[in-house]
Amino acid sequence: MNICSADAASLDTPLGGEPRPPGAGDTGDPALPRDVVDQLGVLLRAFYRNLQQEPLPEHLIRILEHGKQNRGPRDGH
Amino acid sequence: MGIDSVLRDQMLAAIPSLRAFAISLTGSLDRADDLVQEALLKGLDNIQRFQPGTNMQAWLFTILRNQFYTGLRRRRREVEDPDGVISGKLAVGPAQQGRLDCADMLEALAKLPLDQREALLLVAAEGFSYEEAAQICATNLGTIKSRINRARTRLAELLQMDVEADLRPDRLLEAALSAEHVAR
Repeated sequence: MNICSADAASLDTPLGGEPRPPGAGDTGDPALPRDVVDQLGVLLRAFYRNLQQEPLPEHLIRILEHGKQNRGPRDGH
Repeated sequence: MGIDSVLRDQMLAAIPSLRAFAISLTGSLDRADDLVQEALLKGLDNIQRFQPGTNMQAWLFTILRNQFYTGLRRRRREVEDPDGVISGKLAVGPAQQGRLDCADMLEALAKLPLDQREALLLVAAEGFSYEEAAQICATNLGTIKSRINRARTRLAELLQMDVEADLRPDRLLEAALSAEHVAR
């Protein structure tokens, strides 16, 4: 499935597309035990949820209401 | 501004995740907010290029990531969070298992190579599929899987998770094997 417009990638030049050295990018890395992977997932999601729950600065929301007109100093600056 | 209200709502809904991703990438609240602002403005400027029915969140993540790398090239020598500002702001107390807080995780993530960090965050924290993460990172599926494997291994080390103990046979199995050996 095409998850996003290909145009998004062309809006700037990603570094991720750079050529990889030979042998890189294989999938033969030893896997961690399942329960360690699960624990890491729990920790990462908890960390991420904390960040998502940080109060959003007003100026980010205003951008969507008014576009560039309100681009300027961040709140509290 | 002529943006469709549905698209605007989709963009609005994406902001908390975009911001969390940006903070995790940059280790700086201010840079994260600048990144999100730039990504939203770029998204708005190019909204006609978004294909309705595709994933707005993934589209914005792609833009934000590209903005991040463009900025990184500009200030290649800048030290992440030189004053520990972000760590202080995000030290909100134990989050899991009584031994990890946001600052610990942020510090550990900052030690991962960027390509591994972003891949791990997109899949393990944000919940994108491997395929979606590969598209956002402009790479292939195998590379994303490999980066995530390496990131998990390194992160487990950094967080001092007891991987060795997990790799050992459990005591019951050890006892059983030992008893079998003695019986012979």
